[in-house]
Amino acid sequence: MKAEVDQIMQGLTKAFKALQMYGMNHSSFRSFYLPFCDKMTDFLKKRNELNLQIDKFKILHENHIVYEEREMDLSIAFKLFKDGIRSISFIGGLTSDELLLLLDVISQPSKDYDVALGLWECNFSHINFYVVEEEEVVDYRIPDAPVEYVDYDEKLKQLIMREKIDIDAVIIPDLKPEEVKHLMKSITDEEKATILPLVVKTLTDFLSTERSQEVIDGLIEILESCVNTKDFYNARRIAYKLRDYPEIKFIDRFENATTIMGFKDTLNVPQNELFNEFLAFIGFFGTKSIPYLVHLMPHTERADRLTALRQRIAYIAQDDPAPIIDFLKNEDTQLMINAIAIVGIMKASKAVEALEALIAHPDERVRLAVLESLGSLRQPDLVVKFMTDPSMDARIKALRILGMLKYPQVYPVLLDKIKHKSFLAFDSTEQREYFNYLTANADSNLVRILQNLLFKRKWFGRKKYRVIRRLAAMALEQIGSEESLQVLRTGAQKRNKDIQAACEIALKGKST
Amino acid sequence: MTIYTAGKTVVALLYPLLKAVQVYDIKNDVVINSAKKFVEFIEDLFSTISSLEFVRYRDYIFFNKQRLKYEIDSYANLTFLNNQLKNLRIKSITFLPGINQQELIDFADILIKDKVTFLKHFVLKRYPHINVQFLKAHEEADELAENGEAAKKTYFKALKVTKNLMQNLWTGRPVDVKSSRRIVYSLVDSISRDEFGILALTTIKNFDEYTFNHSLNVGILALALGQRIGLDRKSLARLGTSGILHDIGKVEIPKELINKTQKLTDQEWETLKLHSNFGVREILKTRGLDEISMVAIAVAYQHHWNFDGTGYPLREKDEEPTLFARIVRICDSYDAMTTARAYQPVPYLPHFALRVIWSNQNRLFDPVLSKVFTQLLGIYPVGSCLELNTGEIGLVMRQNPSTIDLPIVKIIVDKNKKKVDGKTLDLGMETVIKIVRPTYPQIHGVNPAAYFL
Ligand SMILES: [Fe+2]
Ligand SMILES: [Fe+2]
Repeated sequence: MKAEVDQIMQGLTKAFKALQMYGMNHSSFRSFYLPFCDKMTDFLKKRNELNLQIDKFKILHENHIVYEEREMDLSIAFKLFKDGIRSISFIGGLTSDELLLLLDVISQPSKDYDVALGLWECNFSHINFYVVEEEEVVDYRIPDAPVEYVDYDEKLKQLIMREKIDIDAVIIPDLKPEEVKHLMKSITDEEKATILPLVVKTLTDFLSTERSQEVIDGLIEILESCVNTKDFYNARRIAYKLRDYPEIKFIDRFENATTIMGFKDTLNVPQNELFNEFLAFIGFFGTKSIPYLVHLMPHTERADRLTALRQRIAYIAQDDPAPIIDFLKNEDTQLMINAIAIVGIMKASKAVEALEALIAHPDERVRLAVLESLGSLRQPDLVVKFMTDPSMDARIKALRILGMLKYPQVYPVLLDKIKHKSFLAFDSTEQREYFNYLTANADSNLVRILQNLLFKRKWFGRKKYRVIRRLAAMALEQIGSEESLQVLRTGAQKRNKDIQAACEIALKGKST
Repeated sequence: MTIYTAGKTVVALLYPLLKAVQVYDIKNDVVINSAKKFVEFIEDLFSTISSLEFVRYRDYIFFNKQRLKYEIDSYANLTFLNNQLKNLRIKSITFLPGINQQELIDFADILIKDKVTFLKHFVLKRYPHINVQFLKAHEEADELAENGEAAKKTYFKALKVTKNLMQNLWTGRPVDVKSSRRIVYSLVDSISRDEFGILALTTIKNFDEYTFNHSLNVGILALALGQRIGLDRKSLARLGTSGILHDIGKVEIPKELINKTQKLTDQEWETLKLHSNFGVREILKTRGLDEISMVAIAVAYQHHWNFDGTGYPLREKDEEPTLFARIVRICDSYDAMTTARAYQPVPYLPHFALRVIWSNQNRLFDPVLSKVFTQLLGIYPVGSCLELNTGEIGLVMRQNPSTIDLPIVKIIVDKNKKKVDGKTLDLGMETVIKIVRPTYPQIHGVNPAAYFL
């Protein structure tokens, strides 16, 4: 029999080493574990029980040493011994899962881990172990009950009166099936529920009554673990409460590159609530975090989230835009564009000068961002410079922004452009944009000017002017005044086919 | 089907059969039908399993080497079977293929009898498809003595640990977390081995050092209740810890206030109430933030929350106490009521305290848990003194699982009012001896706790 036990112990040693080296899911571990498990179950099939005594560095079976390892970290014997385990026995029926659990417990690396408790928690059916108690309590004396000279029967009557209960009522404590069901549900709920929200709630409630350093430290500890596990829901609730204590710098610890770049994955999680919780949480961050947050932004895949993130960073930077403005000189276009957008959202007038320097930036995306932000910053004098931008998108955008900004100075310039024959070379989209601008900012002269364009004799028979006539007609229709509609009606009667068609189409648009 | 489920089902089918033969004649349809169901089910099992073996070991029932856990839906079946096997000193029963209804009914019929009758019939008649092994004399004695001794050892060790913990907190000395953690595990073991052994020890009260025994008693009662509703071991460890720590916040309340004998002023009352809040901080201080302490924090904070939304500390409308807090709420009230304290020198009788809980379900206590608590302690909880129609005084030693109002008692005072070391009676089996009423042990000059040591 000794030979068999020796083999089992060798198998255990190998499996244990493999587990420490590779972990449980590795195939190498399996290849050592399975033969060990087989040997053990074979043994138990034959003998039904295997009892092992644990010594400091040795394991004994029937007084024979079957295992010895004096290196503390490697010694299975020592790991068991140090927590008071003095014997361990395996009984027939032992399953592979039980054996795996056992190995898992004894391979826990932490010095503070209590192997005896770990084994206890496994609740094995086929592994028993004996743990020595550190000290025995032998004094079983019980305190004397106080001697009172009272009329107990009288006292009982008083108590019954006080509690107002029927002392003889029949009690049948049977549970109804729905009560059993309900109870089972609360048990599973309790087992599944994460206790964290409750603890956060309890601790924050506590702080409402009294300031306590222990509780604050506890909350900060939970906050850290929430941030590590990306539980921004609870993180936010804790931060919200801790903000009541301005002297506690609880957010500093997160304002570093490692933590903030660690949020990368959160930017693109499928669940919107999770992303929104994250946004809400970083609202507690301070200026110090801005450079890292700006670096984080390019990892956002969804445009709506990028916008939301920009808004959030603008909110964080509101008291001091300087760190954002610094990024306007950054070499990385991506970072620069985000910073440009943020200063726009912030309406940081201090940024205007830096933005102006970028009006002629070679990268169109940069110029578009600058244009947008100058718009937000209400800088029409600078926006108007984009009317000559090489990019049509920029010119159109500029026109729209100018429309929004109510910038009358550009009105005559546009009119001149339309009247000029070079206007014919413009893309139709841009042409339409010009007319849109004009109608949106119409003054009393506009109808007359449009009428002139519509009826211009010089253009008779010139196909390429048709577009302009149509745009003029549409614009008249959009103005929609009695005067402008009259012009269209007159035009519809004209003999010139181009004019007639343009006016009819415009009027039809009106009726539909 | 797993072995575990199979075993659970077999026990679930055996129970109605045993119950039926208790009540009806063995030719009755109820008996025949339940036997039929049982045989049909196990015949199916025999296609994959060669024999069905039930082993009883220290109040655990093993089915083909799998331990069947006491769960809410199997509790009655398993305790009944366990008690029956224990009474008959049976170590194991094995059913073999080929068993038919008649053999099963005949066997069930003797399985519900007393030891002598069972043995007589078992030897007389042959049961070719049922094997029975009996406990050897020393095994049985060992078991009882071992349970009793182990329970005592655990209780007093736990008391010492609880006391050290609170005193160290009081005086600002470091706390031994490892031993306070381990002791809860011993308590869980003790409860699952024999719940009455350690439950009986909750009758130990301490007038002068109320809080220590009270804390431990609440922990034990909570564990017993938790086990009854089928919590697993890990949950039990959390529950037990929470129970022991529920009043830990009291270490921050001035001792004069806790020991005050006069009625508390409103102001003092408000201060005392803060112990729920302070518990949160004390647990944080002691154990930091491991998983168990998080549960305990919630319980300490909520243990005075009533089922109907009242109680303290104030809470928002939609907040409900956790299952553990609801358990501790009941156990806390029960132990507090049954303990003599400074401002309550005469405690409530256990059965009376239980009725207070019963009649305040829905208002103060979770109604379902109140019911289970009553099932657990019985109408006359362990430690109750009962005046019997013989003029004797009986001390309730443990419950009768099948009859909650007829416990097992030990005669401690004879009809001449003399203290005696009398015999133990199962009132469920007695036909002549009846309970007249529960009575205060103080009247008879006895301390119930002393009888459990
Ligand atoms: Fe309390
Ligand atoms: Fe209490």
